[in-house]
Amino acid sequence: MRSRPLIHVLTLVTLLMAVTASADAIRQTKAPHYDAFRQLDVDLPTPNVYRTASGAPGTQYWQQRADHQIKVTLHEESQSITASQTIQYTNNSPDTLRYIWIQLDQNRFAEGSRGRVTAASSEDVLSYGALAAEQRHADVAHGFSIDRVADNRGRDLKHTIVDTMMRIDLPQALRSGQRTTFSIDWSFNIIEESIIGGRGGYDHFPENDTYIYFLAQWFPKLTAYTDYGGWKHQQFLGAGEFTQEFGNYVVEITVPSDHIVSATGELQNESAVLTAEQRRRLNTARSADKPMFIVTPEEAIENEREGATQTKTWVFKADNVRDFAWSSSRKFIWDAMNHKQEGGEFDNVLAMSFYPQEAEPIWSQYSTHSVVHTLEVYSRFSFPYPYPTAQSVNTWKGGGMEYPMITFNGRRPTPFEADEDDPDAASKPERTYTRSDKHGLIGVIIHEIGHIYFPMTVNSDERQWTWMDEGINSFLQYIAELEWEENFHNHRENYSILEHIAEYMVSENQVPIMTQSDSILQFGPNGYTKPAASLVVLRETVLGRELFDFAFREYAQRWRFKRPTPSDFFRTLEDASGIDLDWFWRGWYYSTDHVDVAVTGMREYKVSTADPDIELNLQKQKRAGEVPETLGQIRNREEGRVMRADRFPELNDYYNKNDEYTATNADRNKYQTTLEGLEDWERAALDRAAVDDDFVYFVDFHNIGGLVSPLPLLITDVDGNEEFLMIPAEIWRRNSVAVSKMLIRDKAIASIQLDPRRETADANFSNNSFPSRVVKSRLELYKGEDDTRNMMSDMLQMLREEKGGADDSKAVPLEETGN
Amino acid sequence: MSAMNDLSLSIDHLEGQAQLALYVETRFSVAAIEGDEIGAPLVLDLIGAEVDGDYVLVYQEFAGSLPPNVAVRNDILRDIFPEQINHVNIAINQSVHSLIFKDKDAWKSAQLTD
Repeated sequence: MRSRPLIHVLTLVTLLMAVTASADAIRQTKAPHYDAFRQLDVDLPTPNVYRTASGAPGTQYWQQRADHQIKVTLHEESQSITASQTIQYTNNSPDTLRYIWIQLDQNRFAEGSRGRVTAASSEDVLSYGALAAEQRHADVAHGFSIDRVADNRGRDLKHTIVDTMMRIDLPQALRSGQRTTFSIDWSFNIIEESIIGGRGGYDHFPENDTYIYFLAQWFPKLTAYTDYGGWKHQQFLGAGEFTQEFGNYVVEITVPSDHIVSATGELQNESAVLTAEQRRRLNTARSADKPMFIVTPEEAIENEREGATQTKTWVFKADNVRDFAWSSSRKFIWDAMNHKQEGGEFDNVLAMSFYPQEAEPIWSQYSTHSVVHTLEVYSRFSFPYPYPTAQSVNTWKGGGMEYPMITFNGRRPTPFEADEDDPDAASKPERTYTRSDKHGLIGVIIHEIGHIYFPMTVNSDERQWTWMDEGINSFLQYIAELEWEENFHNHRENYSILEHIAEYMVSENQVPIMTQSDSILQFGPNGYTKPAASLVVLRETVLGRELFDFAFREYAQRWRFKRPTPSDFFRTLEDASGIDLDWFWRGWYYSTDHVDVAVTGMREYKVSTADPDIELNLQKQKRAGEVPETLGQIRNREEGRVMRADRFPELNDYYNKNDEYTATNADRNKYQTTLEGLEDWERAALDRAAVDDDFVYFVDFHNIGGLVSPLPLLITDVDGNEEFLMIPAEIWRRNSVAVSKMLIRDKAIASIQLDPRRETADANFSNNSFPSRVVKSRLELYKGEDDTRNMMSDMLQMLREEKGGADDSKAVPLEETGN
Repeated sequence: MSAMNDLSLSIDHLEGQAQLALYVETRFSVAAIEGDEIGAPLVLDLIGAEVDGDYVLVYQEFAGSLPPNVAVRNDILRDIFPEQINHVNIAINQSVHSLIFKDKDAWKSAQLTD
């Protein structure tokens, strides 16, 4: 899920983090030394027959299977659905199961649910949103009504509901390799998503009293049973998403006859639900290389004006999916195009979009193209898209949510009404959209369609680890956005995903990425941006594209349609890249360190020949250049003052003829002795150095942030020539706080700049150069843009006058009762 | 459809950014702590706001030197989204002090020394 609202308001910022003592079995008890390169072996789970030490599925890897058949009816008049379903459960585990657990995700909205009861409140502030939600909960009962649970012969099965989970006790234990079938009849009142808040529900358009229904977490579903955590029945509290089993689905959806339905899978009964014209258009779209309408905007507007008393049943079939979602409305415009690919289960994938007229004009222009773009980019990084359809449905104003083959996406442009005084009014469209509408829509669709790869196919445990799907997916989303158009999102010059994450990573009270989903404090930066940033650093800087892309693809292919854990990811990327990355996982995933490396000093040397006749003369020249002649001596000479030693020649001796830089025989003898003491190869090296006449530098680096980082260096010599040098992170292996690097160059170095391409997520660039240079803060840059600043200042003044100091709090006014 | 042509609703436009800056101004405060008392909020100069991709940056400045002990309050978006968690980093020379505002949090104190 993409978090909503996507507004990050940043305030002041900068550095430092202390290394916290850990509760490892290994403890450093003498000096305060921190081994940033200590292997993770003791911290990762022990490899076994299910998961290997190299991060691959083991020889006896297993996962359960749950096939679902559902018949569901949407009741528009009561905003509810009723259904009956059959689940066939196959026990592929080596264990015997006496009961099975079912997920009842809708119960999150029920009266007394753990999620609702444990929601903490703000400081005596009641928002209109919270008030409206409470009123709706009081008026409408939410959550599942489980009417019947029965075995395949119709006998009732004992079942116990535990909040968002239900235990079904099996009359006979289910042994390894056995299968059981049972059925559940149920119903629930659909939530109005904009009031209650959730991942599914209905969206009401009060202007013309129309609806879009979008059903997610809508049916009782098998809880995952795993080799690493048994039953994954951690309750659904809202943030931690889903842990799922794969299976085949056949779902029959009965809706008013004028609705269009979009769902996980492929439509099985076109002739029963589509007109001949719609079927003809759909067939054309199946080979089209750009979006074609199946339902045109004009037809959709006509359609939503009417109502229907009849119903139609749409039948969808989906194989090997971990979830199923659907959307239905008489408002839908529908377009589709073909995505052609090679090497996968499907050579042709039907990319489709469903949206109301309120989402135009950006949806018909960008949605389906964004779907196909995602498939092209993600498949290159992982595997060919594994399903026959990929759909984007506009179900709400903002945000997005992912399911196999179907995604719910936000963004509707701001309504626009032509100004009568505007001479260009006639040529303007009825609706306009902003740059962030456009990039926001493309971005959210890439993100949600991308989730069909991670975690819908590479089936990670979302309730446990947000980063495994959101972080990995945000990383690929960033790559796909960069490939949509240059300067996507209109970021500042030099923008990369690394810039803002540093501002989060310096903060004191953050949690490591390896934190259970519901306990994460700052969900966006922790679960999405930081892991995405880490993978950008890993790909572009630590491993390079070739090694990273091979290793990442290996991870995706090993765990395609299987269930990876964090250690499987960490181990596979090391295993396939051939680079030890334990320091990287330890720093980025297991710690709250950040990157801030400073260049603290640089010293210049020349190799000495040790020959006193050469070296003493050099020293003399050097001193002459460094220290000015005594002023009194200069003025005496200018005055023509004659020295005593000149007036009395007898006062002159050896020392007047030879200064301190004159080599003595003792110096020369010592030099000869030194040369004789050298091995031949040492003598050769010294002679060679005399010829090369190189400069030797020692550059000092200080690791302020704690996270060890590669050191990309831009070295500029005195003639202005630039050299780029990448020093891998292993330079820190014996001392993770301070290191020095020796550089030998034939020309004198004028300056050294650390991380000139801004690729390491360094939090502070003001200490990255030697000699140091001033780096302007964002505020300083902003203040330097005079035009922008003046316009803003006028606007602020104008708005202040309009408001007249009125309190614009959006909270419900509250009055104390005195009790 | 009362929102027609209302640029103040769009963060892509100057007016929307200015509106947001004014909103932040009313919901983010710094005050001196004198003894055990929280003084009147310091008058911060609102410089402006800009959008950078998914981020909105609002700039405020204080002329003069800050008192050694301050209290900070951050109510941004918490009136609209009860589950909003705000994070404030205070950078002083080489160190960062972080404050988190959620649930019932109001004023929180911070020492502006290393």
